[in-house]
Order: sequence, then structure tokens, then C-alpha cells
Amino acid sequence: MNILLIDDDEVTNYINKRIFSVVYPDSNIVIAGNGAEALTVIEDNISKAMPIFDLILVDISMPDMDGWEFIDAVSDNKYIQQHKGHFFMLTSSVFDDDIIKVQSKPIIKKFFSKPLDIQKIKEMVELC
Amino acid sequence: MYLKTKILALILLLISVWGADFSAFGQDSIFIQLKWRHQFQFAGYYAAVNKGYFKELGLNVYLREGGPNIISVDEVEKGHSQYAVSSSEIISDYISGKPLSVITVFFQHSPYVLLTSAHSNIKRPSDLIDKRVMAANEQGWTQIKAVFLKEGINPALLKVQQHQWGFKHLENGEADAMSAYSSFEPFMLDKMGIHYNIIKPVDYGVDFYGDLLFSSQDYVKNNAEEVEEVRDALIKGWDYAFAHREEMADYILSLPGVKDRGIDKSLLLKEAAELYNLAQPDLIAIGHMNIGRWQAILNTYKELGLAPADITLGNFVFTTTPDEYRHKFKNAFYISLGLLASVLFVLAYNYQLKKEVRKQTHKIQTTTDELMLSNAELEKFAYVASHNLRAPVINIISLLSLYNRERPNAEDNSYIIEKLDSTTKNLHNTLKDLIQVVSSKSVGLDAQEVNIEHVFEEVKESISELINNSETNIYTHFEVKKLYYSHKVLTSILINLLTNSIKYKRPEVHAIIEVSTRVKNNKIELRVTDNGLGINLKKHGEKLFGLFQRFNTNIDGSGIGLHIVKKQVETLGGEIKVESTVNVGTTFYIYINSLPKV
Repeated sequence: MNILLIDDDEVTNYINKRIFSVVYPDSNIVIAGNGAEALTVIEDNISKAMPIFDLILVDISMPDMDGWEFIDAVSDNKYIQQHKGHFFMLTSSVFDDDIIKVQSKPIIKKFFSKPLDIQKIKEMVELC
Repeated sequence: MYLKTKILALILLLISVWGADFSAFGQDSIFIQLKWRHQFQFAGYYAAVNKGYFKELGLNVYLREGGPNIISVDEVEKGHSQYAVSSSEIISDYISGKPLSVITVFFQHSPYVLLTSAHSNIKRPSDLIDKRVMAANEQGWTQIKAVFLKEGINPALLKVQQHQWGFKHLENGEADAMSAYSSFEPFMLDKMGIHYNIIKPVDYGVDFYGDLLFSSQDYVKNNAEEVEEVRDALIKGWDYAFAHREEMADYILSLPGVKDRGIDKSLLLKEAAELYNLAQPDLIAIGHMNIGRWQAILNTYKELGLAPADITLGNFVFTTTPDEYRHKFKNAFYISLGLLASVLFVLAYNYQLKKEVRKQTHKIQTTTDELMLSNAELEKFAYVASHNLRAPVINIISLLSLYNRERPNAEDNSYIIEKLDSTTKNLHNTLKDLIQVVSSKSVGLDAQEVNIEHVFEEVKESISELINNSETNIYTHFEVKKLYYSHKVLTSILINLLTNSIKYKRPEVHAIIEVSTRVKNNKIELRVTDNGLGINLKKHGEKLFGLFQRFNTNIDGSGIGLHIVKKQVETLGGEIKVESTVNVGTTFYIYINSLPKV
């Protein structure tokens, strides 16, 4: 399984990578520090005709390009191949505004609050 | 006291047995038929009588206790009582053609619920198919029927049996469910140690009014003035009863038959608390009813096929209509005289008043605007603060869960400890920053004559290590040297802008910062220019001064410095502006209002 973790926090990325490798030891995990980096990674993937990311976990609050901006950008048809992957919000926000905003972004499967745990990973995979 | 209550109790007893017509009590006696037996459910009525709220309006009001065999609507129809208490079920009677009128509502939500015995495992309406339900027409049956219809269950599938008004039928399995008041029976069952489940209509989208006062349309039409007085006295009664629950409970316990039913003070106080929830006097004035809500209740009846589609509320809901004012005609003359005098008075003050109103309106508008702004700011603050505090706490929890306790020397453990350390420090710093932001609103109390050259030297000294390590050259040109300003804020501005310039320098270019002051448009302009990375203002302009906003992934920053500078400058009546070009540099302009010198 190909997984893309988008978060600016190094510790979070370490933790999430560890948890994923417990549930899916064979998975290939790529990390991007913000939305812009993630777009570059996805573009690169598409241009090299590599397998798309099956799971994309996006944080909201990030410098340069935040989670919402990334979701808007990646919704563009330019990245249509990647749209077969499954996008999830994974953030420390617990605010209703953010949870409601998710409903206006059809590309996002579901909103999850941090921390990531095995249960949440299972739920994500079931939603795929 | 004891004798008095005894006599009163006797009178009440007499009233409830006797009294087929009003004449025995005199021509002007008014009777209110209560809906059920004495309990806190009618505390407002007792209070209105006992506290003389009826008396002071010249009304002789007597209360009649209700019971399982007394049907309020019949009592009013037969003329035994002019007024009676019922619930919103009364609309069924209205629909069936009885000319009734609701005067006022005391409980905004209906207390009717279904109770089932705990061992029956009946927890939702669908569990009741084929089960025996004790209900009574005047006691919540329509509401309960509405719940089943809304849930798509034909009520005919229930085995409805006559209400036996006791718990033993539930307990010994002769019935599976019974209608009840959420404010009474559940507490009674608690007291008896019987376990039960509760099904609330409101959970299934059926939200009707609770207890209300009604009369016949004829009576209301012919006695509009009295109806209003009775209503107002009862509203006062309820206000008193909710504010003096202990006193009312003691009184209720002294009424005949109350103690015999196993009721005690703690039960009455629990009932009072639940009734308070149903009445919601904090949100809605006691006695308030809304025609829209009645319309919604009628619509529910129509949707469920319990009312013909063409029926309207008509005169069902009592309102003070102009028609009723003819009773007040005799007062009209005096009122007119008074009005004439008032008009003259008002005319004389009109001009003055208008001016004052305009002034006040403007003041209110300004205050509202300020409050809206500061509200929005607070919301934003709560958002970022909770986000920035929650993130490290979550990390700490996760890191601890990853820590290998069995093998403390495991390879990853040292990394985890290192990250725990940095995350905890990060949390500590965030807290410190937040405290600084919160306290930045009280700056400026230390305004004094400051010499910017001196302040600048102090600042340079305090960050000399940073300046030297980055090999930054700083040039100054102070046309204005002395200003009357807060020393603390000036220091904060300089430290934040200088460290920002150094932090966001272009790695390949020798860093140069220029700091200058001059007078521009009657204001003092403080300018800080660098040749650093610059920032795309088209993209980030709005967020630049936001709390915890960071724009660069590779450079550490808490995203708080510029926010604080802006807050402080603006608190002192100044302004901050920025110009920037990516890979050329950034200039901050701070306009300080020439603070008055003393």
C-alpha cells in the first residue's frame, strides 16, 4: 500500500509512520512537510507513471500551503489519476467549522482528529 | 399554622368532592380544575392563591384537585370549572370540534414519556409492537401515538389497555409500558427501587407543549379582562414557586392525600427541578406561547392523519384582540387625557430626545462593532490556542504509547525520549507565548519620554549573539530621537522586527538592516528595512500578522512575534504596514501617533 502523510510536524510524521508500519508492515510511506511539497510528490509520481497513493492523510494547519489549499489544488483535473486514491483529513482541530468544511470538499472521505491509532487506520481502509 | 393548613386542607377536600356549580361559593367564584392530584406540577397555582396574587386583583379563585377519573375538558364543558389545566393534547379536542381556547402555556416541553420495566428490554418504540401499553386519552396518548406514526409503526400494532395508574402492573408483568410524567413517576420508581427504561417523544421528533391553562372560547370572549388577570397572577405564582421550591414543597406535603401516596419532600424537589427544565424560564418567559409552535403541533397532527387538512387554529390560541378592549373603554377617556399631556411633554423634549437617541445609537453601534471585532478575535485566538496546545499534547500521548517499556534499551526509545523532551519544551514555549499575547492588551501604561537611540542600543546588546553569528550589518538614521511612548512596546517592536529580519535572511547574501525614524504626516514613522527572503504579500498578506501563522517550513518560528507587535502598536493608537518583494527584502513601517508630551 502506498501512503502519503502530509504534516509539517516531524514528531507527528514519525509517530504516524510507526503506527502505519505496525498495521501494514509492507506499506510504502512518503512524507511531505506541507501542501506544496505534497503536490510536487504527486506530480512527480504521475509523470513517472508510478502507482498512485492509496491513502493520503492531510493536516490542516501547515506553513506555505495549508491542508485546505492543498485539497483545493489537488482537486484539479491535472491530478486526476491521483483522485482514485483516498483522501482523509487528520488534524488536531476539533472545531465544528473545520468538520463542517470537510462536507464541502467531496474529495475528502472523512475527517479524523489526531492522534492516529490502529482503530482509525482500520476505519480508513474500510472506507476505501 | 398547623390549624390553618388543616382548615385549608378541609376546604380543598370539600371543593374536590362537592362543587357541582359555582353558586355555593358565591357569584364571583372562579374555579380552576387541576390536571392531576396535588404535586409540584401545580405549585404555581398554589402560590398564586396563597400569596394573594388573585386576591389583589379582586379574584376569588379556588383550585380543584384532579385525578384519574376527572377529565379537564369535561369539567370545563359541563361548567364545573371556568378554567382547567391540560397539556397540548387539548388540541385533539379542539380538532374534534370542541370550542376551547388555550390561555397560556407554563411548560415549554411536554413531560409525557413512556416507562417500561427494565427487565422487559423495551428501549425504543419499535420494541413495543405487540406489547401491552397502559395509556389514557387525556394523558399523553396522542403524543405517544405521534411517536409511533413518525417511526412508521402503526399504533394498532400495540395492545393499548386502560391506564391503571400504578406501578404494580409494570412490576408484575400485567403491562409492558405505561405513559407517565418525566417529572414525577421516574422519581417515584427510583424511590421504590424499581428499575425502568424511558422513551421520550422529544427524542423521536415529537415536541409538544406541556401543561397549559385553557377555557371555553365563549368564556374567554366574554371575560377577556379576567382571563388576562388570571393568567398574569399564575405567571407570578410560577415565578414565586420556582424561586421558593422548599416552601412550596412543604405546603404541598400538607395537602390531603399527598403523603398517603408516598410522596416526600425530596421527591417534590426533584419534580420541581425537572419541571423547571421543562418550563425553561431562563430562556422563555413563563407563560409565553408562540402561535408558530401551535401551528407546528397542528401540522404534526395533520401529517399523522390525526386532523383534517383544512382545519385552522382559529380562536384556539388566546390573544388580546382589539375586540376585548371594549371592556376597557371607561379607562380610555382618562388614558386619552394622559396621552394628550404626554404628547405635549414629549413634543417639548422631542428635539432633545432625538439628539440624545442619535448620540446613543452611534455609541451603541460603535460598541457593537468593537465587540464583534473583539469577539471574532477571541474566537480566532481560541482556535489557534487550542490547536497549538492540543498538537504537542497529542504527540506526547502518542510518543508515550510508542515507548517500549519491556526493553528500555530498544533502539527507538532514545529517539522517543529526545522527541518527548523537545515536544514538552515546545508546549512550554507555546504556553509562554500565549500568556504574552493575553497580557499584550494591557501595554502602554508605562508611557514616558524615551530616547530611541538608547532603546536601540539596549536591544542590539540583548541580541548581540544573533547579530554577530549571522554577520548582519545594521545601519541607523534617527531623525526623531525623543518620543513619548511605552519603553516596553518600543523594545518589543525592535526586538521582533530585527530578529525576524535576521531569521529570514537570504543565505547567499550578506544581511543588511536599516532602522530609521522621521516625521511624516504629523506622525512618527519608524522604518525597518532588510534585504532578506521577502514574502509574497499577495498570497500571505492577510495572514502576516495572524497568530501562529508561519510561512516558511525550514526556519523555526512560533508565528507570534508580528502578531504581538501589531497588537501592541494598535493598542497605543498606532499603525503597522509592510512592503515586501520575494528575494529582495521587506520593509516594516510603524506609525506612532505623537503621544502628547507632559
